[in-house]
Amino acid sequence: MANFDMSAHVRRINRQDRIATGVLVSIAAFVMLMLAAIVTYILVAGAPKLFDLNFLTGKPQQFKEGGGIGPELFNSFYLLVLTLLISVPLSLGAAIFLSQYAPDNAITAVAKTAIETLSSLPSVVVGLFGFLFFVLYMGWGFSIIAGAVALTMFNIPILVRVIQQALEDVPRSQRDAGLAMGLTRWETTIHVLLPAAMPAIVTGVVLSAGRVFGEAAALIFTAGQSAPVLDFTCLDFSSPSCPWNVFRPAETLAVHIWKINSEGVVPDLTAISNGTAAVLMVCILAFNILARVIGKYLERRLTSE
Amino acid sequence: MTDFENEQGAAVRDAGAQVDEPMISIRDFNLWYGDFQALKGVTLDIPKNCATAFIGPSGCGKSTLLRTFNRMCDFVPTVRTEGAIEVAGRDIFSGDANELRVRVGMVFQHPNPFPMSIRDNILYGPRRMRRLGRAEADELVERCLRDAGLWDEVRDKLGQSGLGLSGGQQQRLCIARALATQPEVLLMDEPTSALDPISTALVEELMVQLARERTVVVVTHNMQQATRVADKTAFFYLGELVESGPTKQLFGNPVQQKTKDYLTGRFS
Repeated sequence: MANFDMSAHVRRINRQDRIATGVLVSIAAFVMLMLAAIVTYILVAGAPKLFDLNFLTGKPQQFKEGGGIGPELFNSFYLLVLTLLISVPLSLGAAIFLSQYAPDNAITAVAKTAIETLSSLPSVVVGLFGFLFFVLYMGWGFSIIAGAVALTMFNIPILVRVIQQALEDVPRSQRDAGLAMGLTRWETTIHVLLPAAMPAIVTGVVLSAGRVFGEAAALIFTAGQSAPVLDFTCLDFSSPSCPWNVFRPAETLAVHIWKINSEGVVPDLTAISNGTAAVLMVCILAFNILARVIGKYLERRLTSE
Repeated sequence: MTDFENEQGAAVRDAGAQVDEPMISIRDFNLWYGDFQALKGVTLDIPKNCATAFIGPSGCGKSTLLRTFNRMCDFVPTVRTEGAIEVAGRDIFSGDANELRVRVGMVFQHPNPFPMSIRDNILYGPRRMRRLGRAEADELVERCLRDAGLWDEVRDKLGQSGLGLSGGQQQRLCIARALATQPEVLLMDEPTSALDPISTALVEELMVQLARERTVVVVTHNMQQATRVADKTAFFYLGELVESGPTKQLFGNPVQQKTKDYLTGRFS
């Protein structure tokens, strides 16, 4: 202890701390800069089309310029809603089962591994599976429903993990409170755990919605690459122009970007592609902001009012 | 001298209580977590409408025994029991666990109100069992909150979330919630160890009042708390019940050397 130089030691650990701070700040700054550059580029390139109402609502053109993305915009949202309608209840059930009911045995271990594997499956594989099974074997053809089911397969693993995590993050004491009052597992789950986990669940669902909204590879082979002109007055559910018909093909925004860049022949394809990308990005940005706002709001309502 | 008088007073009161059947009777009870035996041959009577305190060093089995009374220990996967426990004359292991938990309420170390309004926290238990009219519900909420000494602080914000209250208030809300289903027994597992001194004093006062009309069993690591609130105290060590008796006698004149050593701080 006698020859230990305290002030040298303090100088050294302070220098280490300064270096670490510097390195971390520059890494963070680099990442932020890259992101900001991409976002700015997409927004600036797409700006002329982003605020053009004719572009946002008009129908796409095959050969001449001035085409819009009206049907694609509608298809993207419709497909998203259908996907969430299928995947949220399924994931909720699976997550509740896995976190509250599942006994610790080989079968649940296999189920958990299967979910993890499914979540790292490349989306093009999901798309090709959907093409072979739903489009061809089931005979649904290129259709919204085939796309929605494929996206569900793509979405479920992530949602199950998010919801399961949210349920497991509810403090143990809350669960004890329910059980000690003689509530069954079901009552505890529905009335205590789900409300407490709701902010995290809603945030997770909205964030996964952003992912689904921007997905292209899984849809190219399932929902197809054509966007029939939609007639919103048509209520004949078997007609391809009826917007609500789930058995019609439906190109989404992300697929539109892919298609127009790979086989588009319209003269203004760059402008259309840039505009579509900007619209897509604004929508996903909106989902992310929405997720935060709703999550915060629910959190506040839970603890204060 | 005063100690002696108090001792006699307690003995007389205890004799009065002995006329009734004990609220909880434990006979040669053993409990294992896997290979570890957490409770060894415990035999104890817990008198009706009194406060009973369990004391002892950490890991002595006092919380385990408390959690057996409402079968919360069932949730530990490897748990195994032997021996008999009766609450109000009924074997707790033969009936339905959820029905037992309605009759035996519990308050935990950390306040854990449900993520809902103060009013709904209290009404949740009763509403599961029967429909409540508006007036009846209002009256129940007020009575439970008054019994838990919280009414004056929250009467104007019954619609607000129970999670927005301070720690001490949350704990009293949990007590009010436990009272709402009118349990015969109220179990309290170190109910003040997460609270500040003022809240602790309020909750202790509450325990004394509550024990007039129902059976209260409290686990505490705080020996002073046991002397302040409990009529009867049981001392546990390494899974065994070392000694039990009227609180005044156990603290003033313990029979076992182990109890003396613990009370005088020889080990903890």
